[in-house]
Formats: sequence, structure tokens, C-alpha cells
Amino acid sequence: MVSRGFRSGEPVIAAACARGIEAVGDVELFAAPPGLRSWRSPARTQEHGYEPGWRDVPGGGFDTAVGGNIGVPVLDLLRTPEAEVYVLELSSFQLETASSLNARAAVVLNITPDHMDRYATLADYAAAKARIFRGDGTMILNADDPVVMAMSLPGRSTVRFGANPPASDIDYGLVSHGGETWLARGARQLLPASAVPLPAGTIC
Amino acid sequence: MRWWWAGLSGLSSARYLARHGYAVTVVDSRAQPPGLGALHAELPDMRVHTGSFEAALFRDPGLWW
Repeated sequence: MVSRGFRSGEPVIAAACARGIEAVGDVELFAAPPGLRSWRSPARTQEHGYEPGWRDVPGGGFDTAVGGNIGVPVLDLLRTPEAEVYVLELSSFQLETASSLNARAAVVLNITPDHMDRYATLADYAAAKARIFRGDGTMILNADDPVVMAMSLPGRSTVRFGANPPASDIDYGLVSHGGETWLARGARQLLPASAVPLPAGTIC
Repeated sequence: MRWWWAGLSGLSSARYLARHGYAVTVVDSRAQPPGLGALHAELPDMRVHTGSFEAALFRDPGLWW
């Protein structure tokens, strides 16, 4: 088992991997516990989306556990009884050593040239991040980021979001209404941008 | 079972593996990895190897999965 600081080029680890030993991270143990091999579905969210009052109901009314790369480590989220919904923020480093993820829904917000000390090319970095879409869950993609949109897979349920008006009934976007900017899903206006405690124009 | 230390998530991993009955050795290339004190306090019996990596630590596949 290797940490998220693991570098695949580390000689002793590379030598072990060359002999067929699998190096896994904590997210892999979370997704496919040894001995159990029954897959959880981390990063799950409800497909019907958030209603305007969602801020008053963290997790949309579900028993929700939140953690991952920031905050509570994924293995500390496991408890009895299990949470109904896990919301995980995962790093590209964690995704490199997780192969059994099958999130009900997963999102890549954007691809920016961070962590390029660890990746040879931006394409390598994007490929590591795209591993979050393994499995058969809904893909949530940033319509304004061409590298993210290129991760789109045929046959998969896909929801897009961006700064433009929604392109379809299930997509999220920004529309102008009564002189104000609103978050909308399809033709349905969800809430005014002024109700969101983030700087205007923040889409990430 | 060998495990490569990484602070908070590393302690979380050690705790998880110990709870599930694995014989764990924690390995970190640093002489004094952050969080080592917390690890010793919570899991005093856990084997810890700090400092340079030795290939022998990772040789036996039975210690991995």
C-alpha cells in the first residue's frame, strides 16, 4: 500500500510493481476493501440534482460522509452503519493508485497545469484525473474546459455545467433573468448567483 | 503489509489495516516523518521503518496485496 506521495518512479516500488505486485492507495481500499471486494460507490450524488433549498439540507437529506484528499481521509469515513452517500474530493495522486472506483457520479472541474513536477505532460495529468470516471456512473463535465470535455465517454450518462446558458434540460449553466445572473438547470432557474457566497464569476 | 507514510491519510491507513487484522510495517524515507508521534501514540505495537528504503522491505509479495 502506498501513500498519495508515492511516485511510480521510486526504484524499490517500481521494482516491486515490475514483479507483479500491485501498489494500491487508500482510495482503492475504500472502493474495494480486501476480502470483501464488494464495490462501494464513492462520490455518489443524486442524479435529480439539488433543489433551491439544498443549502439547508447538507447532503440533500441523505446520511452523507464528506472527505478525501482534503479533510477526513477516506478510510476514516467508514463507519457502522455506513453512510448513504460519500462525497469525496480526490487528487490525481490518489486516483493513480485506485482502479476499482465506480462512482455513482463524478466530476472533473478543470485541468490546469498544477503538479507538473510530477507529470511529463498535461495529457498525463489529465489521464490521471480522468480515472475518476472509471465504472459506469454519471459523468459531470465542465463545458468550458476542452480538456475536461475530451474525457467524455460514449454511452455514459453525462451532465455538463458552465458559464453559458444550459445546452440541454439536464445541464447546468448561467442565465440572465431580471437583470441578475441565475444558476439554471435547463430552462429551470435554481437560484440567483447573489445567493451563492462565492466571488462573482467563480466557476471552479 | 508495508505502507508508505503520508501524515494524516497514512495514519488513517495504518489504523484501517490494523483494525482488519493485517500485520503492518510502516515505511517512510524520512528519518522523522510528520505524524510519527501520533502513530506511536495510537498504534504503539506497529512496526515502523524510517530512513532510506531497502529493497528487502518490499521483496516479499506476501506482505502486499
